[in-house]
Amino acid sequence: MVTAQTMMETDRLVALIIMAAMIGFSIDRLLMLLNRKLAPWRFAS
Amino acid sequence: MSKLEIKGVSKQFGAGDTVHRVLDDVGMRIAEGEFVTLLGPSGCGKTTLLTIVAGFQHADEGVVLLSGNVTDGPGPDRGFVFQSYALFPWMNVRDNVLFPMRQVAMSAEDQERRLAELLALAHLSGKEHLYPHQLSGGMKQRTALVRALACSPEVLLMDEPLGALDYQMRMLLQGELEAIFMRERVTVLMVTHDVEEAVFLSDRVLVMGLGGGRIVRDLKIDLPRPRQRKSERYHHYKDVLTDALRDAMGGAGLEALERLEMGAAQAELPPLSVEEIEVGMMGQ
Amino acid sequence: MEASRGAVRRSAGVTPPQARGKQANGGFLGWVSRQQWILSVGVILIVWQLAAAHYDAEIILPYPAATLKALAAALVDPETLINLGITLGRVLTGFAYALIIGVPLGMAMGASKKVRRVVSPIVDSVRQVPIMAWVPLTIVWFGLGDGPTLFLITMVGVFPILLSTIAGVDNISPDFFHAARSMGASKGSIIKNVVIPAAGPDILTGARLAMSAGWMSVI
Repeated sequence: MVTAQTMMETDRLVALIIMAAMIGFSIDRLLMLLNRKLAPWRFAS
Repeated sequence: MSKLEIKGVSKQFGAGDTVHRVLDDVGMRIAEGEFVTLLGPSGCGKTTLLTIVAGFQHADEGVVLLSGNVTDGPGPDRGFVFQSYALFPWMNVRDNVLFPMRQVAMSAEDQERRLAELLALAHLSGKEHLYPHQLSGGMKQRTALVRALACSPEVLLMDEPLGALDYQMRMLLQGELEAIFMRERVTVLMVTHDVEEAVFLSDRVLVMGLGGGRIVRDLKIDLPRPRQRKSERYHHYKDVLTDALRDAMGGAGLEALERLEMGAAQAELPPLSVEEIEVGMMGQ
Repeated sequence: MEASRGAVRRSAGVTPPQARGKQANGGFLGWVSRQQWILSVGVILIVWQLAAAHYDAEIILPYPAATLKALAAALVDPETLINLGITLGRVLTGFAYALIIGVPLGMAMGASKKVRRVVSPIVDSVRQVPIMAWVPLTIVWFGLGDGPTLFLITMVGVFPILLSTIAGVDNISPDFFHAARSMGASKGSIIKNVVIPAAGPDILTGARLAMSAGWMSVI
């Protein structure tokens, strides 16, 4: 990513940012699903 | 010798000007196998007394004797049914009911046998894999009850056990509770503000008054079991108790009663055990 | 299919009863339906395209088309993937450290008012230090290399975990403790069977925050 920044390859840069965001999002969601699976009594209503 | 004896128990909350003497030299004797109800208006100290007997709180003065021995802190000799049931939501019915048995290291076969017995008693057979959030109010109540009975405690303490249920459910469950108690002979001390419940379930009702929890009436309920709600004598007992309850409020108006309720709410139960729970790693 | 029927009714403004419960917290996409996601992404792409066309300068804002091409390329590029893997590894390690420090400390602080009173001021002061301020110090301590990065990841992760653990333990209803003790449970049994399962979900929420923070701190 640093390379992309120095080389001003903005399209690659934005692409990597998106990629990073997607991964971050997935990790977050996975942990949330884990939470719901392990503690169903908290999320039931 | 009485099964449970309470002698000279006093308890106050607050300090300085705002001292509220909830229990003032309260005493009583409960015989083995008796079902005794503490009846009284909110703020009369009945729940405080119950928690002192359970060991969740200490009395400022006085002592609680179980089969002649002084009690100190909670233990499996006194089972407790909470108004909120306190069923562990992360455990299913089976694990909840087995939990006390595991704590006292009951053998595996005894555990299974007792579990089956208790489930049948509470009409919960086949439902033991369900979790508390999947149970109805009545089912939760029965689970909490058999969990408290699991290790055959010397005394069963119940804090407004049917408080969270609607009228229909209460009537139904009173019947179920009666059936359970007719099978499992155990000494019971129950707290309630509901006269109907007191008459239906108890052998003896102690009416506690505001201003120190003084016992204003000690009424023996002489009715055969199973109780008939429609009999004349049943109604008579209800009337007597309703009057006694009114007297227990000491002619206090609504305002005074509200003030006392606020006081009771502020006198929060100190969470003894939380202070004591120091994670082992602290020492390491 | 159930889901699409639900999605259609939802876009008409009506939430079907089953979906209401499920989608309220649920699914990988959150409480937004697949339709709404596609719609949002579509809008973003359109706005992006217009903005890029307006500036028409690769340096300021690349076109979505070019970006998506680069994205596709990056997704299969081994070097990128390896780097991402290494970064993920670092984040997970830092996260693990944050857990090891945060959970036991949080449980101790949640359980004992004394501990809380003593440790809280230290924790709160350290928490206020801007993360970047740690960089020079960590370079001195750990030298150049993985050390400072790991420290950073751990640092941003430990506080959400700590705070959530304290809250989790604090919020355990006293009735559970009373019940456990009246059933003869030992301290160890209480920790294993009451404290951890009861505070668990809150700790996990803290872990989620820690993981997010950790990931964002190194990108």
